Amino acid sequence: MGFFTDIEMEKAKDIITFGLLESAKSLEVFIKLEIRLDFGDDFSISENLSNKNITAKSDEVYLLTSELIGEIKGTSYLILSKEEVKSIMASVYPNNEFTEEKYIKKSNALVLETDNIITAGVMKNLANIFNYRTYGGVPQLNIVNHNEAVRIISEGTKKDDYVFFKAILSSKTGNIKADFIWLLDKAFVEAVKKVSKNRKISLTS
Amino acid sequence: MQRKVVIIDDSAFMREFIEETLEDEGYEIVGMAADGDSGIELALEHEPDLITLDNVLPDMLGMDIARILKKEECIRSKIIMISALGQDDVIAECKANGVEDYIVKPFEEEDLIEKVANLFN
Repeated sequence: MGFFTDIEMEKAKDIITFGLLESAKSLEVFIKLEIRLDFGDDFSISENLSNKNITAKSDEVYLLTSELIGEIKGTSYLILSKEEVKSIMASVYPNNEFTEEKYIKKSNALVLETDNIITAGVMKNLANIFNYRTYGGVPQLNIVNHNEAVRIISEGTKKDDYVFFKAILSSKTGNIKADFIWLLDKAFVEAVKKVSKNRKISLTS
Repeated sequence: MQRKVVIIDDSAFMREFIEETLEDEGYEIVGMAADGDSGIELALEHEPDLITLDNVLPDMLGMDIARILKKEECIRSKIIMISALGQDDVIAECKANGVEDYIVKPFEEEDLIEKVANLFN
């Protein structure tokens, strides 16, 4: 583990989980589908992100990337399959009868907004707990095949002094199972160490 | 008389959502911009009754746009910030820069209608 003691790791997981729950709640409100937060077999914050941790998807995927700007730097990745985007579109626009061109425009705009909203859940929590000025940049969308998405994320995560974690945002309706991957720079580690010393710190502060 | 609105938001989804919601309520959308520079230009050109403003734009922060428009250019438009950023200190800073109200995303259509109506009551 190295960078955290057991107590710091627990604190870090609490902070991240709380933010991710905010993200899941925001997603639920925005796309009008019941969303569950899932960590797979084990929730870990680690110095390496293995490709095998990325859920395989067969088709082209929508890879959304947001940069975290401010006192904590980092990147978030959200991966949605075409089918998942279709489910979100059907939920947000139940009576949609868009032409193909309009559908592409609408769905691209919708997934970008989805990413913007859920990324803010984690960031707001980091900013509030650490009392840091930190916010997300404008999200970017790449529609690529799954292997290319894995390659882009692997390239992005080949960084020293960063830690990684991943959660899955899932929904029974629409069969959504979206990987939500984060890397944060060591300012996050330092901030966790600082708040761990203060036992009275509240997750909602 | 229809109240005039300028929408400044990099998200195409939000621009369309705000446009449709406010048009249905009788507001006239006189311009939309996806970045800060064009947004400031539009706001100065039209000096609308209302500006809806995102807080994170590709070229600048909404709170800086609010400061430029309200404190430097002294326009009288009301500004409502619509953003996914919901930190208390960010909201306070926006208000100090001249933003009249703040909506944190996600939100319902009714929230926008109510907040905007309250600005003019």
